[in-house]
Amino acid sequence: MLKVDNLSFSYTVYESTSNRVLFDNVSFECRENENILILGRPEKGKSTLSMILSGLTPKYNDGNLTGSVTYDSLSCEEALERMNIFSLVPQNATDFIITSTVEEEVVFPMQSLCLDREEMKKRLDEALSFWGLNRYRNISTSELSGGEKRRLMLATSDVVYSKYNILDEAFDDLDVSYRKKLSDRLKERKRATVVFASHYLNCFDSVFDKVYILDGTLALADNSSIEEFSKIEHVVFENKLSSDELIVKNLTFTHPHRSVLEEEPFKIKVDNFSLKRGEVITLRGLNGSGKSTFSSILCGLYEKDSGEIIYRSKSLKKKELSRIVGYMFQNPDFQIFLPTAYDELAFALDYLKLSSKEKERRVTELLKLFRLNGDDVASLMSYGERKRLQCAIYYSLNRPFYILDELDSALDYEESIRLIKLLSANGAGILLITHDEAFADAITNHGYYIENGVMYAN
Amino acid sequence: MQINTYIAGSSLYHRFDVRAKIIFTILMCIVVFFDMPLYVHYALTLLITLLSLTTVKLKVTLHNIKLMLPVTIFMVLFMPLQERGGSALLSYKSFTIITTEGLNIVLVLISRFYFISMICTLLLESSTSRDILLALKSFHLPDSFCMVLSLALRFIPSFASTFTRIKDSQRLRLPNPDEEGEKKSFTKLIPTFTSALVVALKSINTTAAALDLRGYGRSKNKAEFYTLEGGKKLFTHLAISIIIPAIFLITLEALHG
Repeated sequence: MLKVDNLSFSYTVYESTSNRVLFDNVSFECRENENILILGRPEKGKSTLSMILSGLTPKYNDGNLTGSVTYDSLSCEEALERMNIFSLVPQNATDFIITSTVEEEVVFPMQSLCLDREEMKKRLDEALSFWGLNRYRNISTSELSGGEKRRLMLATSDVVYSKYNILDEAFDDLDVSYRKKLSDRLKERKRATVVFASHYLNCFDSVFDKVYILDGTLALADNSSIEEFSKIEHVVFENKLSSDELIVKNLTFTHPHRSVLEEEPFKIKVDNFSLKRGEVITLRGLNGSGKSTFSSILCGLYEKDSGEIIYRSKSLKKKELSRIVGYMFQNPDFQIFLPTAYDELAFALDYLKLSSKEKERRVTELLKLFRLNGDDVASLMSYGERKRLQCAIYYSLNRPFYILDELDSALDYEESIRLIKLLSANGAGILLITHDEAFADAITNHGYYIENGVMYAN
Repeated sequence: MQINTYIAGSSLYHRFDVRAKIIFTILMCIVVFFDMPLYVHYALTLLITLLSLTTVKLKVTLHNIKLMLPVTIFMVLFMPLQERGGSALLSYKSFTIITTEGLNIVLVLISRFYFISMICTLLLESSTSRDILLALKSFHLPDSFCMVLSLALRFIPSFASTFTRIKDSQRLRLPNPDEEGEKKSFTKLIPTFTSALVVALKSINTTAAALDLRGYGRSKNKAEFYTLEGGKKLFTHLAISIIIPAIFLITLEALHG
C-alpha cells in the first residue's frame, strides 16, 4: 500500500516572492491495484506532490516537507533506490528525457535494473508498440512533438513493471485515441495508480476508485464536487467581427527528419484557412499532426514551400507575418529575461518611445489587468503567473491576430477564458490550439482540425 | 568542432565502423601537427572537404564552414602580429602588418584548425551518439565519463535548438520583429542569452532527478542492451584507419628526405 500521512509542503521563501505553502495535512492511501485521481487547479501543488511521492522533492527542489510517504512500509528513498516499486510519468516530459533516441530512452531504466537482453527486448517491443512509437525508434528525441514525448514517458514507465504508478497530467498532450488506451489500461488494474489532473476528462469515467480534490488540503470528492470542479460554461464573445481576415491558400511545407534516413519527411498541406479579426477559433489535431508547425509558418518563423498567406488583399512575406500574428509559445520562459514583472512589461513598451509617465501608467494598467505584482522576480514566479506575464506582454503588442498554444494546460478554465477575452477585446482574431475538447467546445464551435499534416474545417 | 545531432545517411563514412573512425580521427589530428609543406596542408583541407561533401552533402558542409568563420577571421587578424620573421608583405608607413613568415603561419594554422574541426564534426555527424559511447566503452573508458559525454551529446544539440527557439521567441515579442529583431548586435542577444541561461539552470535539477529516477548509478554492472559488431569488417576498417595516417607519415618522411 502507498500510504501518505499528514504531508505538508512549502517552498523555500525568497525575498519578494509570496509565501508558497502549497498544501497542508494531505493524507491518503492507495492499495494494490487501486486507481486514485487527484484533481487540482493549476498551481495547487499537483506536480510537487507527484515529485514528493517519487522521492525527488525536496531532494532536488528546495522546500520544507513534513509528514511521511511509504510504499509497503518502505520509505520513499528506499523505494526510489529499488526502482521497480514505483514509476513516475512527469508533467514536463522534455526535461526528463536523458538520452538521444526514443529506443535508448526506454532501454535506459531496464539497463539500470540489470535485466537480461531478451527480457529488455520483449518489454521494449511491447511498450513501443502499445504507445505507437515503433516507427520512431531511432528518431532523435528532440524531433518528437509534445504528445509523442508524453507517450515516450509512458512507455519508459511501463517497462519498469513497477507496482505503483504516478502519472502527473499524463492525459494532457495525448489525443483522444491514446487517452482511451491509457484509461482502458488503468481499468485493467494491473498496478496501483495515482493520477494527477487539472481537468476532469470524459475518459475518467469508471476508471477511478477514489477521487480527491487538492486545494490547500486534500478532500475526498463526490459527484457533485467533481461536477462543480469541472463546470465550464459556454463562452460568448461579444467582439465585433471585422472584415479584416487572415487567409491561407494552398499552403505546403515539408520538413525532413535529420536523424533517420528511412522516415518520410513531414509534410503540411492547407488548402483553405481563414481567421477574422475579433473571431475566436480552435485548432485541434493528434500529436505530431502539424499544429505547432502550421502556427510557426503563420507567425513567420518558418518559410512555406508554396501557397499564400493573405491579409488586406496583400500576400504577406515571412517577415511581414511576424508583425501581424503573435504566437504565444507554450513555454513562457523563452521570452522572460528581465529581473521583475515590471521590467518585462516596461521593456515591451520601450520600443513605442513613450514618455516615462505614460509608460508607467500603461505598465500599472497591465499589471492590474493581468493580476501581477510588479516587484515579483519574473523567473521565480509560478508557472501560471509567468503565463499571465507572457499574455500581458503580447497584449501590449496589440497584434491583429494571436495564436495561443495550449493556454489551458497552464491555467484553469476561468483564467484561460479571461485571458482570451482580454486579448480578443481589442479586436484581435484568436487561434486557440488545445487538446481539451470540453474547453474547445465551450469556447467556440468553429475551428479546424489537422490530421497527418492536412487541415480540414471542423 | 560542431557538436551537432547525427545526420542520417548511407555514405561510406557513415558505414565505417565507429571505433575505426575514432582512431582515424585521433591519428589524423596528430598527423596534421607534423611539419609539412603548405601544399600538403592544402591537400588535407581539400580531402577533408571532399569527405564532408560525400558524407553530409553541400548544405551541411557550408553550414559547418560558416560556423568556423569567426575563429578564422580572428586568426587572420591577430596571428600575423605575432610572427615578424621574413620580408614584409604588407605595411603601413613604417609599421609592418604582415610578413611572408607570418602569412605562412596563418595559412598553416587556418588549415590545421579547419581540418581538425571538420574531421571531428564529421565523426559526430556520421555516427550516432549511442555508437560513439559504445565505442568509448569498448576502449575501457570509465562509465561516468561516458555518461557525462552522453549527456553532453544529448543536451548540447537540444540546447542549441532551444537557444534558436528562444532567439525566435524574443524576436517575436518585439513590436516590429522584422526590423528590430533582424538587427544583429551583441546587446540584442543579451535577452536571448539570459533566457537561455535561466532555462538551462532550471533544467539542471530536473536532469539530476531524471537520472536518479531512471536508476543511474544504482548498479556497478549495468546490463548492456546495445553492442557493436565485430568480425572481419571491424578488422578491415581498423586497418584502414591506421594505414592511411601511416602512409601519410611515410610520405612526409620521404618528402623531408
